[in-house]
Amino acid sequence: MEERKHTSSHYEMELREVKNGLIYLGALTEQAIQKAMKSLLERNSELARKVITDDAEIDKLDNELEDRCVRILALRQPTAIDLRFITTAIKINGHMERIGDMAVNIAEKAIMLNEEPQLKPYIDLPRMAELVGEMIKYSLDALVRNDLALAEKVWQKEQIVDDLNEQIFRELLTFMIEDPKVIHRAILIMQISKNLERIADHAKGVADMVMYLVTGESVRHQSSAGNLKN
Amino acid sequence: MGVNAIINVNDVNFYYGNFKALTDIKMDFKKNLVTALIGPSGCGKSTLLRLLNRMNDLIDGTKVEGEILFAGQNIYAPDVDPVEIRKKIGMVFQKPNPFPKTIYNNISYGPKLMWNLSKSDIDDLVEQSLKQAVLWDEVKDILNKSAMNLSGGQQQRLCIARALAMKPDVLLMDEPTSALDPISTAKIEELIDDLKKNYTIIIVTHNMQQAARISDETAFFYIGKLIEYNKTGKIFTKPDVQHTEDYITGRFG
Repeated sequence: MEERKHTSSHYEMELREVKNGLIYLGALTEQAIQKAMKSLLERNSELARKVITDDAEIDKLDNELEDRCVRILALRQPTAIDLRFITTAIKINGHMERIGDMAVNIAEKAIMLNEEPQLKPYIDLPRMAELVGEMIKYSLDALVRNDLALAEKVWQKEQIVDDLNEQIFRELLTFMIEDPKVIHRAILIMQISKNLERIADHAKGVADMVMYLVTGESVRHQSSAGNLKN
Repeated sequence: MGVNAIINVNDVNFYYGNFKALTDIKMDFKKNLVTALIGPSGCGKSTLLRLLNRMNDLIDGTKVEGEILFAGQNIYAPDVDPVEIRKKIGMVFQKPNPFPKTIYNNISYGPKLMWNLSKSDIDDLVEQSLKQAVLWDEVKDILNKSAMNLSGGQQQRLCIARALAMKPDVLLMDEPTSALDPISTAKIEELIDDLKKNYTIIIVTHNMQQAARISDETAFFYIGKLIEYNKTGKIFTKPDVQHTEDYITGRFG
């Protein structure tokens, strides 16, 4: 499918630019999460502040990509695979931009946590961060290669991230019951966990859109947990 | 044969002399739907359209194999009068071709020849046909002026009114808006949408967006063959055949 080129080379190039833009945007958001987590684990608030300022770049790219997609819709009137690609791109773009915002949220919480003694060693959070990083990577690779198997991997990982999030909540709850003085820090960590869980949802959203791109069938709003349990 | 089919094309081959223009065409056209025929130049879509009311009879050296049923009757059977067929299956062409007569006479000409009608019956028919073609308000005060003075878009709607005056069941349209400006095109498209309540419309168009906008079903032809025939929504979002996708997305080498 990739080898079949449009008669109009300009059109071909415009579509390619959107795809490349999404991949670049994906790389930026993945980096943002990594840095935000690093700023937490290494108690480096300087790095956290950089994640917050760098988000402007993600927002700018988001706007640019959306403009490109709207231009293509207006000027090229894409159909079939091209139409599915452009509508998919607009949605994926939105997911990526939100992931960038979540990374900013994590960085903000990290700055607050870094001002107090560390509550506990971080074990599950880095594991979650690694998983959501993989989910973003896989979902974008699935987009590049129209690969449904990769999209399915993303769904499987989403369930693991959900479980980790619940586990972290339960664990922190016991901390808070034992000692109310840790509540502030525990809530901040819960929020980071929740943000990672939301990122996983967005990555799953990207995978859902790839499914639509390839098959023409919408799988949004279907519970992946339901699929996995049978 | 589908229950709602008004025209059945059964294993039709068509030749211009030795050149085979259509190969093994088998498809049903459904009643009260708009069906668009698309494909690159020379794919046979206009040839098929003209076969549906025996317009190709007028070209020497052509040959039809297979059968085309209209309301269950083979229109190529030896005892069928093509003029009777063309009454029931009207046609509108690419370029508006009004008669060099008054607007009124353009509409009344056919019905007068065909039926024995009173003056008031004809007046009614003229008004009704022009209203159906959404032209009445623009021409009701100039019915006795020459049709040649109308704009291209008005002339095309006049030709549609002229076809409707013959009370057809099916309207064939061969690129009816390709010579028109965007506003006239929008009016014709709007009209097509209205007309499908009472008529079956089969339209050939090179304008893919037009096919997507106005048709319920779309048939894609390539080098004389029917490649894909599907719901229009399906064809333009996720066609079943790769070849169709390549054509409608502009990936045609």
